[in-house]
Amino acid sequence: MTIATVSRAALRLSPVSESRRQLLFIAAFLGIAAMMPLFLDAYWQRVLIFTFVNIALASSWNVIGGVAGYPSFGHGAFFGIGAYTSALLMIRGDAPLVVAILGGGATAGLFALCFIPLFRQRGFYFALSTLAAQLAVETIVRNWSFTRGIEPWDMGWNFPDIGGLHFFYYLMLGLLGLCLVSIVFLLASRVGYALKTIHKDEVVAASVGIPTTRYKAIAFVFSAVWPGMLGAAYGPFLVFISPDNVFNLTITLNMILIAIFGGIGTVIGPILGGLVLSVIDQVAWANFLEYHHLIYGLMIVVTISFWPGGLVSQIAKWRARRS
Amino acid sequence: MLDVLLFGFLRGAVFAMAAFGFSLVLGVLGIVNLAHGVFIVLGAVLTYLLYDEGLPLVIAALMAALTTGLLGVLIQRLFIARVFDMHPLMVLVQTFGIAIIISEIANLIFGTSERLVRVDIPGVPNVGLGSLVVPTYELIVFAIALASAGLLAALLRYTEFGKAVRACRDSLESAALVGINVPRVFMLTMGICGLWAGLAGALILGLRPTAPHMHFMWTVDAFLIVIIGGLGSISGALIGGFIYGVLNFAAYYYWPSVAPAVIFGTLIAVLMLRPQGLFGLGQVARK
Repeated sequence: MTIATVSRAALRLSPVSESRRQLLFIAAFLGIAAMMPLFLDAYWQRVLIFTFVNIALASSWNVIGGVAGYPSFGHGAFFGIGAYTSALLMIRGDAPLVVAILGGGATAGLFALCFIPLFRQRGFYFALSTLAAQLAVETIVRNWSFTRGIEPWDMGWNFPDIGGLHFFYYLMLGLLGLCLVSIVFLLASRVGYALKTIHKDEVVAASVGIPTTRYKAIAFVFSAVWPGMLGAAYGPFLVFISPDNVFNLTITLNMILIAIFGGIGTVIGPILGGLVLSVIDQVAWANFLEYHHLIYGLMIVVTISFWPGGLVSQIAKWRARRS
Repeated sequence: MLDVLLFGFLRGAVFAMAAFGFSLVLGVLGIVNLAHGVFIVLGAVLTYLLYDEGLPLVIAALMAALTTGLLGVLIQRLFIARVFDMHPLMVLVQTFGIAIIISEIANLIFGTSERLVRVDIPGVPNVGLGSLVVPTYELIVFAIALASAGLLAALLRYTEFGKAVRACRDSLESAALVGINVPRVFMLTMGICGLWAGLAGALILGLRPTAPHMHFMWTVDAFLIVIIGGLGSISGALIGGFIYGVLNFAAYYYWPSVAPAVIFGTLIAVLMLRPQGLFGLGQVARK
């Protein structure tokens, strides 16, 4: 038995129980969510669809931003790229939805590969570079006649009607499930360990022979492919897309805020954070429309200033106090 | 061509003035303050309101700048001080949240309309420079911005506070060890940042329409200026301002539809090829 296999066995030992717990939690969550259309009206089903998208986006962002510690501020770009790829494929190319979703993921992944030179930056510089990249992509999509719309004066895309509310409910729930399960497996694999090590200390990680750039690239592309696929499915659901609703900076911010609010770097955190924040957001929308942005800003500042660990660390604290 | 260069150069000084505080905060506190643009737009909007109430423009501008300076101190004391030594992500999201709150409050109180003050200098509204005609106000703004850069440089160089700031910039631990009150230096740094940015905003009010929702554009611009010029010096920010001014004018003049993409592309290119800036002082500490 070589050293490599020994260490591999040691690495595999602990995570199994943890990933099993995570998978159980996800299965329970998906099971309950799958039954919800029996009890909820169309309005709340729509709210839940948005919630699923938000959770999946935050979970994907969490892989690069939370686990690896590279705060991407441009992840909304991949969502938008996915939505626009789906528009181009389905409307310009008459492709079926499955092709559009796979194409959206692939295009987002390819764009993510182009962003890899940005990994020479760290911290603030990485965040601002990715932000600039998102804004640049948005400007091009907004102004290029090929992506702007089918007619030269169009400023967006109108999708054909391809399915009812139930169809999209289960489509998004299915994508969310696949996304969460793939994240659990990724984090329990060698890549997950490498990312956690990179987060703790990148210089040490590189010095013990972890190819940091390769693992960061894997994490970044992985966390871009899911937003791409979600965006591709989100376009036909919204029916009309334009840079204002799929390249919006608040999409990026939502990913980050949900991940932090739930518990950054954890698998369960984004799920809890997405559920709680979506409820708060809905209440704010319904009752204080005028102050909606203000409430959103307050939530960000209060969470970060007074509660940076998020829900997961709070639950852990309660548990520790009990036992 | 010549007019793009000249106007870009003239505006560059006030762009640089808007970015001095950003550079100072990035150097001393080691954070990127995404609420920076709020100081600028708030300085402009408050100046407009006070001027509208009948105050002389100069008094209105100074009062607005003092308000944004005080706001900077408060933001540092109440919020940033809690998280500034955590992961950079926390400060970024937190200051962006602060920016949303303040700009939303400003929207609710002052409205979302864009405001512009026409400043006519009595007697000489325009000055001819060769074949070009330049409004006198542009020249006055240019002079004020340069003077403010000189003042800030002198402040950092000769006063006790400036020495403390430079000590904190070089090494926080050593500064604390020799008895410098680091939290106080941080607060004053943010105050100066707000003061200078607010004053720049007041000057910009006479140059282009300004509204509270434009804050983020200014934050990105300030970052760009600081990155182009290089961290660590007032003169670096000034040079960055000049280059950015010309770039900005040229991009909007020659490629108006994709100007933001050109500007952001430049930002990414500079960050990747010369992260210490074109005129930076050696290696930059990366957090």
